[in-house]
Amino acid sequence: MILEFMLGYYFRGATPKVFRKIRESLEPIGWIAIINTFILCTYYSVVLAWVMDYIGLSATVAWKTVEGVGPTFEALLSNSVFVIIGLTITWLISWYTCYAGIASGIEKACNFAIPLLWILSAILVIRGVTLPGSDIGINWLLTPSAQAFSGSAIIDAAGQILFTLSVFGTTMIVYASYLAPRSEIPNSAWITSFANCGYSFFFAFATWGIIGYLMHIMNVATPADLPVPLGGAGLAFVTIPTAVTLLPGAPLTTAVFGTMFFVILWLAGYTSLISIIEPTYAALRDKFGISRKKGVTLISLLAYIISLVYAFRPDLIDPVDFIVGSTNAVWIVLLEAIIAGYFLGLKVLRDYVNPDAEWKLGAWYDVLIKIVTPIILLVVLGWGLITTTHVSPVSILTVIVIIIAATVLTGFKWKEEEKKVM
Amino acid sequence: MPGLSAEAIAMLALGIILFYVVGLGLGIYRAWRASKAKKKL
Repeated sequence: MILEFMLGYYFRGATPKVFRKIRESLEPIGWIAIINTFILCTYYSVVLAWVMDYIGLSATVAWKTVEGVGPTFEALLSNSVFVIIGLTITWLISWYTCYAGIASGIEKACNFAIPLLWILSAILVIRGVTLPGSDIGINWLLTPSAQAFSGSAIIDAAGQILFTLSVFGTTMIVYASYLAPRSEIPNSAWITSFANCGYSFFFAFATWGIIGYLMHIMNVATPADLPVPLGGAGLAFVTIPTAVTLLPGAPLTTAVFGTMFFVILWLAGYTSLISIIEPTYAALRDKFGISRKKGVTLISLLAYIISLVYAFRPDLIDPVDFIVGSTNAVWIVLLEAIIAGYFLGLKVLRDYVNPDAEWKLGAWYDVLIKIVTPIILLVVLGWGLITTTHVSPVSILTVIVIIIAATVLTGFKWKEEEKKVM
Repeated sequence: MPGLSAEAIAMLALGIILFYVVGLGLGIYRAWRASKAKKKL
């Protein structure tokens, strides 16, 4: 996080520009990071469309009974029209937020969405931990289990933490490039990371309190014995609706807390979606000199069209996500650490940010980025790739598309260079 | 939540210390100290 903040703040641009300024031949890696982020927003928006649809489904308790929860989700996945409506609304809101600009769009959206997210989450956490049996779920959340460790789980966790912190070589670089001169960098990165992880830790009590209640109601000993999924999309779209259907005071409480849960999920996803549209635009702006309005519209339109594929084929999301959201995120951060550590030299960045830093970065930081981070990420990647069973032809095709697109984009001339030639 | 195990309570305490005291708390304190120093200038 500190490294991405420093790279954006020092070079004032998106990843291709940053890497090119370090060494011209490194530009394709910057584009790989950008294309990866772009693909991420194409399927991420579909999940957000499901969430948006579920706000309506929860408000009306469309599944009516516990037995209706699973079929409702299956019906949603097979009803592309309903998903396309959610997708269109999600993209229109996200497009307009980025189109309106940094201060008038992204900043305003975050100033509204984040406090609302915390308030609604606090209500849900209080409800979650006061339910009968919530302690059963929270015991499961807080008790470490050696059996849960596996190569695939570790690579998923590494991808998840990088994704949730938006550390995948694009978003934080671009956001930091917008910071005012003489900004405090290391401590800002520190606060950003802990605010995010603190929120995740906090909201886990709502989810696991509710799961504990479900275990209590269904009289099962372990979460694995529950007849509902505990991970991925199933947790949000099947398990939580099942639990809120069984809440005391249903169906009114089902509608209230179910809607609240999906509004929280949508707000969290929406602020993430705009943060992954922005770096793609910033990269095009740097290279082609395209205006914000044109760039954001072009990216949103293209991403919207591609996302329609996932609306019809939701089964494609998992294999693409394994490459884009997990594996590539780790690869890109690994390369970023090596490029900054060995090609640029971290002292340049430290000397640039330290005069205004409340928390100074010493030589220990170089050891962390040049040695510790690459070793950890290589182990995670190696172990994950050896033990994973997720790789499929779709995953391989995704890698090929990313490499081709990055090569093509690198081949275009930079706007500044064209001007110099003329 | 009276039914929390000793291990879970220890992990809860660790989470609170790590995320909110050492993490957010220290960060906000540093930011406050920096803004105070800037005001003096």
